[in-house]
Amino acid sequence: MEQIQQQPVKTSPTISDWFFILLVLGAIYVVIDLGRDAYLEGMKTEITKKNGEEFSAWMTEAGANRFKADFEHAACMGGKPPAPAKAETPTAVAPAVPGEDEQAASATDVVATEAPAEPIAGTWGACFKYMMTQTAFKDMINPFTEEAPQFVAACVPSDNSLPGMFVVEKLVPTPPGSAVPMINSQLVDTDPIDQKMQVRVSVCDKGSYAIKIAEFEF
Amino acid sequence: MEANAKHPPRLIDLDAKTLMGDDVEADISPDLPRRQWLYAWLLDPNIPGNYQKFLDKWIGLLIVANLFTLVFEHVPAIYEPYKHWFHIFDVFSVTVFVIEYLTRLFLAPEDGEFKKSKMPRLAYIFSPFAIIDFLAVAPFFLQAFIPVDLRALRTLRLLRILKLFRIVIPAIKEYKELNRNRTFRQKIHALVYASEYGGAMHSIFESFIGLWVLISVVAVVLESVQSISYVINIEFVILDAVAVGIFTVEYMMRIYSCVEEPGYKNAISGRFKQASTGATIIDLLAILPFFLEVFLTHVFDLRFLRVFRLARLLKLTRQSDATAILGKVLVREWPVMSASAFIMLLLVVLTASLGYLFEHEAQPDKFENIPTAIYWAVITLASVGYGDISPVTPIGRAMTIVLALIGIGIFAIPAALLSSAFSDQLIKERDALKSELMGMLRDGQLDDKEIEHIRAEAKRLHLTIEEINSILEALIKEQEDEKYRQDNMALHLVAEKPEYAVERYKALMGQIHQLALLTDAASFEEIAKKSDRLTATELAVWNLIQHKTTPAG
Repeated sequence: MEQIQQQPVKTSPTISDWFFILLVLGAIYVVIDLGRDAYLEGMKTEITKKNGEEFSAWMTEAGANRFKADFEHAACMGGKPPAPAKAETPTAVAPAVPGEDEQAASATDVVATEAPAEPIAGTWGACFKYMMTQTAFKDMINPFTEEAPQFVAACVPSDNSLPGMFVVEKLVPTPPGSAVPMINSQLVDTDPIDQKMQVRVSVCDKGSYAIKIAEFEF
Repeated sequence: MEANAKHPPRLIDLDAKTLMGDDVEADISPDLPRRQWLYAWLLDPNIPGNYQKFLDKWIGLLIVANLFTLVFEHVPAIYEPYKHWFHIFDVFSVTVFVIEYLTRLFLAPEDGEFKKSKMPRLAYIFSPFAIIDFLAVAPFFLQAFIPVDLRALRTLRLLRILKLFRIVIPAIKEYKELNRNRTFRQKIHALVYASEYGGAMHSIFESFIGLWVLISVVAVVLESVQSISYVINIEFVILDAVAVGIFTVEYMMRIYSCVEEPGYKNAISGRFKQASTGATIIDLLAILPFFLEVFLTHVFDLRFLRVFRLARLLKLTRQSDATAILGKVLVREWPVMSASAFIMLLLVVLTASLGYLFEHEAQPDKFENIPTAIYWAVITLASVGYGDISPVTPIGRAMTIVLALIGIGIFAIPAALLSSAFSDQLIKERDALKSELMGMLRDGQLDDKEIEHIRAEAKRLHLTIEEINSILEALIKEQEDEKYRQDNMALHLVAEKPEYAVERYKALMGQIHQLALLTDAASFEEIAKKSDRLTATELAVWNLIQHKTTPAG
């Protein structure tokens, strides 16, 4: 009598199973690779934040001591009004960006606060030039551009040339009863630093969005 | 036949607790030797109703909590301020794990795996699970004797995750057993889709995905808090990449193995059909922002896409039927809902037009045009009333009073409709369960599969034990009524249905049996023969019954 032969069940992976496994491995590879890229980009933002923190820490410390007679960084010393300008020096003055509406500023408004040829003593320009040439900040780099960080008027998300840039704003309190407690505007080279002022430091992240680092008295 | 073979429970023996599996009480004799008794209560996996599963579950949760603390310990901004609490939690975890280890060591001679060994406790100590348990707590004690670097200690603490193997390995064994002689694709299907082949591994898979959904959604929410994202932004980036990796693999597994599902058999159209289902589209939406943001970041600012990562929360709808019920309700009530929406639209446009007509001259800046007035109309009719735009003319105010009152009624209609339809739908589904239960109990018994199905349905419909009880009572009453109706049914009606006829015949035969047992057989026969009250056939049947019923002889 002929026995009914049972068809053995094939349980080992078939070609389509192997194709699926390869596809899954490929997908995992892509996710790891993209994740690594996202991580590296994220790290650039972290370095930018760290730069901003170092900058803020230096300014905070300077802010606490710059009115003392033995303050070592003379260019940033407080209490000395700026010397009168010898001639009309065209200075790159960025338009103020009032309130928090930084995104409203167009990319063309972004002006680097390049130090004038000879900044006037007692101004932010002189202090800033000193900071960027005589202190540890001279070696600071913007991880997105691998160049020295620039100071801009505002972080503008539509402008992809701004990641890693710094924004330094002075905060001026408004009279009591105003809708906003503070008005912020970019600290420009000609701004006198003889008096104490409230300052906010922000940095632009990968997408050129502002990340507030610190607010302190300078 | 096995001595402990279980018979399916009969309806009359059932109560809701039995049906829902809540009545299992461990059958452990208090007279057992103390160690054996303790093992039976705490660790024996073969005794239903003991604390073994409960302990496993809580130990598992503690391990997962340890994993989270390990992650947070690496974030100085979180770890530094709460260092003390982290340490307390660590001490608590180690204490629990040590107690667990010592209990298992003490009870090892009762464990079937080690009791045959000459030195069961030694055998336990060198068993893989015990080594894992030891490694989970050893680093904590190590730091007391050797100055260990904190980072190394934290890394060693990762070994605690290995304790999860106690839960996972038995599940893998069961999964392998259930899927013996099944193809690779069928195995994948058993893992990702609910089926009889999934076992505990399917539950672990679902819990794992659910956990990652919760983690990634919480991460997305916290990422929007600047003070948090400032501190742990890079951790969020890593977490998102890991979550996307997991969800991508899950998505591919679902698409690949869906052809094992009924209705999706075709390799291409079946997969396409699966890909276009709501749940799978949600799965795709959960991973798409990651890829789009990376690939198109130089073309557009795609930061807004990150919000769509919250769609991951919808993945949990696969494990809940609430949205399915809501969907059914919307489809069912669509004609009424659309009619109500039409009335609302009509009222809004009318109100806005009248508002514009009466108020435009008085307040041209606020009631500038009809679209602006539509905003005011909706805010007024929906009883929100922000108050940024309000009528000032007497006629405008009078109209607002009337319209606001109408608005209360009109805008409440869809909400009331939805709410009543939702509750109707639940009642319908409960009735469906009741009739299903009725159908299952037609034979008077429930088998294991039927009980499983009822449990799942009761869980889905959120039925309480009391509700199940009332369904069972109603069923018992219905069955009794049915029996009474059959017993008292006219003969010609009984004859029309063979199953009723058989039941009636059984009942009559039963009565004859009872009569035979109770009456004096000799007198009966004598009278029957003398008076010719019975025919020969009737007498023969009587004798037949008599011989069967009365003791031989």
